[in-house]
Amino acid sequence: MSRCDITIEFDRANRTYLGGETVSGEVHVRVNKDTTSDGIVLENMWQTHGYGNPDLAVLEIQELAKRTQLKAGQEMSFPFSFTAALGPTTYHGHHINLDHYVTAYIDVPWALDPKVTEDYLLLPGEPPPGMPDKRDELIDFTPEPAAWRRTLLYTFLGCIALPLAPIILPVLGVIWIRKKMVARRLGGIELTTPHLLVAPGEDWPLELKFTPKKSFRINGIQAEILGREAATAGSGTNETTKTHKVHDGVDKLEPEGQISAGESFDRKYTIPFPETNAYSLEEEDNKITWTVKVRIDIPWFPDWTEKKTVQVFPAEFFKDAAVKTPAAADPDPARPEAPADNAAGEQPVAPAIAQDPSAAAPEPITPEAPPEIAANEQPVVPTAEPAPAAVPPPPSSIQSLVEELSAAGGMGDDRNEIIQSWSNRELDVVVKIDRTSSTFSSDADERYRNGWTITGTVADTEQAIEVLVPEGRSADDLSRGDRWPARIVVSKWDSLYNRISALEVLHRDE
Amino acid sequence: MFTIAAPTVGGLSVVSIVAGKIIPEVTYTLPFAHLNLRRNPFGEFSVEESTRLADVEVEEFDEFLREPGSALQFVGEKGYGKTTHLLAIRSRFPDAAYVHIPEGERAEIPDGNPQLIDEAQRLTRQQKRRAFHSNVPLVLGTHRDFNRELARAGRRVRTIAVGDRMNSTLLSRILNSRIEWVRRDEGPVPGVRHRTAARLLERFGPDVRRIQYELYLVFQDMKDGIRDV
Repeated sequence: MSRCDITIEFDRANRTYLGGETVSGEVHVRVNKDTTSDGIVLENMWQTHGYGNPDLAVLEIQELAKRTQLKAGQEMSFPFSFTAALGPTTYHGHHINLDHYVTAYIDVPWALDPKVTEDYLLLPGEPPPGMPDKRDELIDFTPEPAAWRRTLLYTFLGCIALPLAPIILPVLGVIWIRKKMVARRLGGIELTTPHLLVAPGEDWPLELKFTPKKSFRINGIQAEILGREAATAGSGTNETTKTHKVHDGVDKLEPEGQISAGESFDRKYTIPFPETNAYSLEEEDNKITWTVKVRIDIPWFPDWTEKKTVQVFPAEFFKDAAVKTPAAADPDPARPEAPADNAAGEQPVAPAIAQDPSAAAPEPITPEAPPEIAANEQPVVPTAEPAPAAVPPPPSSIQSLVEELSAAGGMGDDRNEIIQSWSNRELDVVVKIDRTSSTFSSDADERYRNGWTITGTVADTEQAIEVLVPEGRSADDLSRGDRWPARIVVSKWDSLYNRISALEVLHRDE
Repeated sequence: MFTIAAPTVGGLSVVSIVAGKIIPEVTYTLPFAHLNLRRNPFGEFSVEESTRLADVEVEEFDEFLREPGSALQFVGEKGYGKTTHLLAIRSRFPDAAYVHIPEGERAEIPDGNPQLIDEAQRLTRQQKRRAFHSNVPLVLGTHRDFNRELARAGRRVRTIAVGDRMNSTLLSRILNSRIEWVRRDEGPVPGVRHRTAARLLERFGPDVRRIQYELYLVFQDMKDGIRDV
C-alpha cells in the first residue's frame, strides 16, 4: 500500500476546456501511513507522446498545502483552479500526440513522492496574444541563433561540403540548367501567397503571374497541400525520425491547354484548405508542418515548381480575418462537387490590360439601387431618387450576348471582341449558381476586393459565367442551384473556361 | 460560423454550425481511453520513465563493480538495451555518475563510482586514456569492443553481449510492463502474448526499439477495443 492515495477530480465530467477558460477541480488525498510532507503541489503542463522523444512545458505550479505531518486515516480535499493555456491544443495524431495534464504530488523528503497525473482536453479558445493581425508572415517559434553560432554553422557546413564538391557541383549545375531552361520558356514567374497563416477549411488565395517567352502546351497547373508530422526518437546514432502525412491533396488549378508566347498569364485562385486539427507545431522532437507546392506540368520538359510553407492555426485564432474572408469560416456547400475543370475555384481576374475593373465597368448612371444578393430575390428598385438629366439606355438582355457568343464558334479572339463590344452596357442576368466563394484579387477595384465571386451559368443556357460582387454584400443565403438575379457589366472573355467574366454593377451612392 | 463542444460517449465532438447546418469536424476523446490506457505504451518514454521501467538483471554485477580496477562493457547494436543496462546499474549505486556522449559532440566525463559512459566509442583519445587508466570501476555502453584496450590498461574486464541476454519471456515482461505503466484505470488492458514476443524476437532479433515500433503501429490502429496481441 502506498503512503497516500491521491485522486484528481475536474469540475467538468468531460474534462474539456477552451483556451483561456478556468480549469478547476479538487485534489483528494487519503493518507495510508504517517508521513512527513514538505508540501502538496499541483502542476499544470502539456506534453507530447507518441513515437518521438517527449517535448513538454510546465505551465504552472501551485502549492496546495504547506509542510505538514500527515496522519494515517486522514482525508483531505484541496480545491484548485487555473486558467487554461491558449495553446498548444490537444492533438491526437499518428506519430505525435499532445495532451494537457494536471499532476498532484506530495513532496516526501528522502522518499518517492506519491503522485498522480490526469489528462484533460484543451480545445482552441482565445487567440494567443502573439497572433499577428497580418497573415502574410510566418510566426517564428524558434529563437534566432546568435550571429557567432550562425557563422560557426556555415563554416562547419562549408568544411563538410568542400570535399564533396566533385559531387555537389554537378548536381547544382543540373539544377541550374533546369532552372534556366524553365526560365527561358516561362519567363520570370511570380507566385504570390498573401496568407501564410491559414485556418482549416478556409479558402486559401494564391496568384500566379508570368509572361511566357515561348508558346507551349501544359499538362496542367496544380497545387499540392501537404501536412506532415515528423517525430524524432532517440539521439545521436540512435536518432530516427518518422514522418506521417496528415493530409496530401492536389488541387487542379488549370487543365491541360496551350500557353501562348507574349500573352500575360495572370490568374488568381482560391484553394480549399482541408479541415484539420493538426495545427502547426514546432517543438524540438515533434513537428507538424504544412506546405503548398505549385507545379506547372510541362510535357517533355522540366516542370516549374515552387513550395511555400504555411502555418495552420485554429479558426478561432483569426477572429478578424474570419470576417474578411467569409468563405474561410463558411465552407462552400458546392465545393466538393466543383467541376473538374475548376476544382480549385479559379477566381476571375480583371482583364490583363485593363487592370482596374472600375475602368472596364462604365460608371452606372442608373438611379436604381443595387439588387441585394439573395437567392430567388428580385432586385430592389428604388423609387425616391429623381431621374438624372441624361437617361441611360435600358438594360439589355444577356440572351442576345449568349447567342452571339455561341455563334462565334471556337475562336477566343472573336469572343473577346464580342465581349468588348458589350462592355459598355448594363445587362440583366439570372445566374444559376454553381458556387459562391470569397474573392481574392489584389488588382481589382477596392470595392470588389474581399467581396464575393459567384460562379454558375446564365439561367436556361449552358453559358458559364462568373460575377464579381462588391465587398459588404451578404451572400450567406446563396447556395448551389439557386437562381440569382443581378445587373452586370461584362469585362472579359475567359478563354480557359469558356465563360463570361463580369462585374456586378455598382451605383454612384455605393 | 461558430464552434461548440458537444459531449459524446467517452469524449466529445466538435461541430461547426454553418447556416443552421451542423457539420461535424473532429471527435476528441481522452487519448487511448478506448484501451483503458493513457497513451500508446510503445511510444518514446522520458529517461526517468525508462529508468523506472528498466527490466534487466544487473544485481550480478554489484560485487564486481565494487572492486577497484573493474571494467564492465555492454556491447551491442542500437536498440539492444545498452542504455537500459547502464541506467539500471546507476540506480543501484548512489555515487554513480552517468554520461551519454551525443553524436558529433564532446561530453565531459563526470567523476563517480562507478563511472558509466554511454556510447563510449565516441570518447576522445585523451578521455579514453584517462578513463581506462584510472582505477575507478567503469561501465561502458558501446558498439565497439574495448576488451583489449581495457586489459592493456590493467583493467579486469567483463564483456556482456546485450543481445544474448534477451529471450521471449523477458521481452514479453518488458512489453507488458510498458502497457501496465500507462494504464488509465482498473480493469482489463491489452496484453502482449508470450508467443507474440517469441515471434517478434525471431523476426527482429533483440532490437527492442524496433519491436516497440512494430507494436506502436499495432496499438495505434487498435480501434476495435481491448484485445491481446
